[in-house]
Amino acid sequence: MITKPKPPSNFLLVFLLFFPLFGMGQKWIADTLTIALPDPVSCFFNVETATDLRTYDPRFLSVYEQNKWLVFPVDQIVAMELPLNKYFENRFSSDSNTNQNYLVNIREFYIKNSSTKSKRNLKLYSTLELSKKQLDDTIFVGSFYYEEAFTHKKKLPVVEGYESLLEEWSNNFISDVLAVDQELDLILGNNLYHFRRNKTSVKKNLYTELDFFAGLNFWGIDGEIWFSEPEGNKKFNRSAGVMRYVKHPNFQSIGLGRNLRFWNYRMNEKWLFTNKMAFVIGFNNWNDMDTAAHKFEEIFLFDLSFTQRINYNPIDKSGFVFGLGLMEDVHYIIYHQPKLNIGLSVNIAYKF
Amino acid sequence: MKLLLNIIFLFLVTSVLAQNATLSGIVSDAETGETLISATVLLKTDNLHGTTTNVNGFFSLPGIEPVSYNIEFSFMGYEPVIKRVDFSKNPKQFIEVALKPSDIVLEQITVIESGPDRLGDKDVEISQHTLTPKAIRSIPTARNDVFRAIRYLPGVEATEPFSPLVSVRGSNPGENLIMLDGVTIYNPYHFLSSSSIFNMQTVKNVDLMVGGFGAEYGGRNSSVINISTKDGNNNGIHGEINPSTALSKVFLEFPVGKKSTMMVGARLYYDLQTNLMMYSNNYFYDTNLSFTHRFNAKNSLTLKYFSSKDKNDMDFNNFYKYMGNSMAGLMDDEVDIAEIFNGVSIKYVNKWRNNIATAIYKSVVGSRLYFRAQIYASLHSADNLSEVFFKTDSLVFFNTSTQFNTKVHDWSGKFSLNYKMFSWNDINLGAEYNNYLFYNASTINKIENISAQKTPILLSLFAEDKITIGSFTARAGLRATQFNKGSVMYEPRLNAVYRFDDGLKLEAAWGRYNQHIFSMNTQEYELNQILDYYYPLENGKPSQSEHFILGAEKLINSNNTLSVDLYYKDISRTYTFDLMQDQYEVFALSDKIVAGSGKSYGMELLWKGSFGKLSGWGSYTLAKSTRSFPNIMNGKEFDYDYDRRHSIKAVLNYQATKRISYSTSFMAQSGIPKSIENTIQSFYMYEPLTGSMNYGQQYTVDKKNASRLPWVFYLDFGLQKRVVSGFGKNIAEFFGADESYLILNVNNVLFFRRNVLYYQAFVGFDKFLPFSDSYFPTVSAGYTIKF
Repeated sequence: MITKPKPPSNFLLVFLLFFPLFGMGQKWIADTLTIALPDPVSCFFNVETATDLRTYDPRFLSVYEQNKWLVFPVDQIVAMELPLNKYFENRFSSDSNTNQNYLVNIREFYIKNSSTKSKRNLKLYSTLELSKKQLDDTIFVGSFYYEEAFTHKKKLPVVEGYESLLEEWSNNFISDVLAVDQELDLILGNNLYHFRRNKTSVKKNLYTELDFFAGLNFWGIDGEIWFSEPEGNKKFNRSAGVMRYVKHPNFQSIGLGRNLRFWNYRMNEKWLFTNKMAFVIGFNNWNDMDTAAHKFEEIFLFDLSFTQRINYNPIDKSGFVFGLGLMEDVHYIIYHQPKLNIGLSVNIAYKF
Repeated sequence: MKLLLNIIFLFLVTSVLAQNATLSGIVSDAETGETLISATVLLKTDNLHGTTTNVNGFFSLPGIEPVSYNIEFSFMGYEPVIKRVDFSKNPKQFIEVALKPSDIVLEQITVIESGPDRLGDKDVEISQHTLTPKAIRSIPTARNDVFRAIRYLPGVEATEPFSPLVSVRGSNPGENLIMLDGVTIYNPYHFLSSSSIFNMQTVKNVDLMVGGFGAEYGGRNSSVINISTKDGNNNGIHGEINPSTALSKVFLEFPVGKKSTMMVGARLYYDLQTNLMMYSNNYFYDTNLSFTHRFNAKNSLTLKYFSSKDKNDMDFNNFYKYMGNSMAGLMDDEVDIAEIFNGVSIKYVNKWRNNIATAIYKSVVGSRLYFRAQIYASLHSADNLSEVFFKTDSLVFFNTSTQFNTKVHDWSGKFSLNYKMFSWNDINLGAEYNNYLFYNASTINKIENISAQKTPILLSLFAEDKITIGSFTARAGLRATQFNKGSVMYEPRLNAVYRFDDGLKLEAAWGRYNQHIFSMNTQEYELNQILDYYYPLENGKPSQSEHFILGAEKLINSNNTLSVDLYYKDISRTYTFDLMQDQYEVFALSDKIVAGSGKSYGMELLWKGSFGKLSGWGSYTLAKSTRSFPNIMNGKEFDYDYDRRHSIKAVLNYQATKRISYSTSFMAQSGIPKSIENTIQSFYMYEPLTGSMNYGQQYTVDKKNASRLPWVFYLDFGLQKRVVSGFGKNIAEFFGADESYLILNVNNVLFFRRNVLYYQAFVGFDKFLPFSDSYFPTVSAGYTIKF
């Protein structure tokens, strides 16, 4: 005979199950991973003073979320042993008095951690202003924008990835400063794309965009919002959130997509080529409910679209942005064949 | 008139007799400018002499030797201030003191913490709870909702899972006086979220007196719930934004010139998903406006406006079409399930509004006299249609509809005078005038029935005298009411408190309460009753109850309090509708009611406080409530509908770090009594469309509330974390916000144990089928930008 457990025992079971986890979860919350700094290596220039202008803790490097015990989301802080400005002053120091002295303003410096099941993807974003020290004077040189990616296997220690990325970036920074010192950017151009001579740094931009699209038998609007760091590479990716309205002959839909992707290529200072990919899950509203026997499952819409467009989008400048492109859209509704639609897209955005 | 002259004479005499110096003033919050209630004012002399601020932040300390003193102003959660005052040259001094909030309390969610603009007199009030917005946010299921939050307080029980109505200490839901900034508000609920219409962003405090309240409050028999909204901020622009695809909220408070402040709050809910899926158009909005002008330190005027609208047009027809077509493939070919579903039509069209406007004038008339006057208009209207239609093969099985229209207008003016006659004696006098309009109409099965409109007037006077002798404080009060030019009725009230040196406080309260406005329960008729329909008791005597309360409160340490309340409520007169009458008449007229009686008694044990980073409260309630009506079981006593014998509740918050806090709410309650149908009744019904007689069976019950449902358990978890990366942080930075928060709630963790709300008998089944309100856990998330 099967007997059903009495209510209080269920209640106790849940308490016993959850509260130890609840308590244990707490122990991990305040965890801060500390990045060990490499021994200083003599450099061909000297960062005499670095000023950290970020609004974060001076030791802050990165933060990401992870679930402890599969349930409790906690912030994992990654910090440096020393304040960031000290790291700059120690790492980029020279033994020789004859080498060039620099001043660095650190406008932005953080590492984004986005991991998949197998890999840990790190990306360092940094905005630095460089000034040259000369006898009694300081001459502003320009601004650097870094967007440096690093991938390593997840089974390796987290700290190792951060340390490797930092080391890789610092080597690049050394070679960049030497190149800038020799004014190679004026000759090489593209190789120092992330350096803007004599220009003060810009902040990340907020984009709010409307993208109208229409084909032979459909039309729609995407509302999009995203932040974009200053361009550090000629090719760069950005992601956004999207809300899509689409109208077809016998139904209309509203859907949401969290991870809209833009693959961008900077053609010149004013024009940007973008390939946009959006995956949207939405709800359908059928016009023929009274005549067609639509089933419950037909409420859902799965929509994948690509748009290739050319945008007027001046680099490092705010204001209106607009463009024109070609859109390919495939949508799937349960019990219906996937359908391909092709249309034109016109987009307008304001870049704050 | 004679009474008024006597009072004036008394004021003059005591003023002349007062030979010593008097210190009066107002204590306020330095950040918001809002006045602080129950702040302590203490003369730092060998013989400590002091007082506390009243509900308006005003204090008066007469009988002081006219020399120089250090005076300390303190308040829990604020940094104390010491000021030097010299009375030798000016024996009547007025002082304004602004206290800065201390950081310590900000990280805790102590439920009954001190705050500005509180209700009642903390010195003598018994069974009083105050919920801060922070405490409400920490309750995972409250979803920033006042009425869901107060269910976690002892003595407050939910009526139905999806209804925002509450029963307090065994009383009817309609016996709670619900006020917004002192304005009585009718049906303050939103349908779509089963929640209150109060935007928590605008709320300063929620005060609840579950019994034994003073003579200043009346008109309801059970409890007083006052929601006070913010007045604005005189230190720059502050606010919050909650963007969402469904319910979006915005709140701003800012100074207007040097002497004025303003607050603006708004919410908009639009049910986009239901609109698309079911072709239903549902939305609600509410807005709050507040403007406060301080003429000078002693005089201020506050104007407040509130408006809310609900439009709910739920049409389930398309939903049933979808379901029927989906299930058609799964069923036996002989059963045309699509036809059955297509034959079902359920439609709700509900529209209702609340509009409130009020002006509040506060003035320090003299060093001992404080004056408060308020006028308001509270306008409520509702139009609720429910339709159910079911047919197969052209045979109509069911076709019914109800449409209720209601309108309540309440134009009111009230004033109060607080007079500090001696340092040990406070007098509180006041009057209130309510001019009502009640309109009710019903249409049953598309046939218009009786409508009624009544315009009674309620005049109320009250007087209270509070005396403090050493550790003993007593307050005697009397409320006199005249309803619709009838006879004057008196409601005496008495509260007493004795404080021991070791932190123990013994309390007692007694009071008689009359209610002239009755609210009707339409659950038996209306398919979706979520509103009260109000009726004036013009021809009948008011419903009446008498509260007897004994309590003890012990301060265990500086952060923890343990209290126990024993109460007995004699409900000598209460009403119900006689459901055996012609149903068409029942809906519109209050004459079709039956008077009965009841009683309610119980014990409430409450802990509140904090241990380190853990704070919150927990309670246990043992209660019983019964009713007796001559038309139900020949007057035999039965358990009241919302009677729960045992109730254990807890809300805990763990502030793990400055960025993350975890919270949990828990409720375990014995089941409510129900009339479970256990007898089959057969009947024949004439079908006029076909001219045939149909045979049917239905279950009935001969005893009311004879069965008791099993215990219910609710456990929910919540997480609030400051957003430190990603889009949330970027958008907060973009707006220059101080911080942004992510709130995540996991509700109904104990889903595998079904909380049975009803056992339904079905013809053809040999078992009762249990029904629950929630079968699965739910996860919800929200994002807030605070600046």
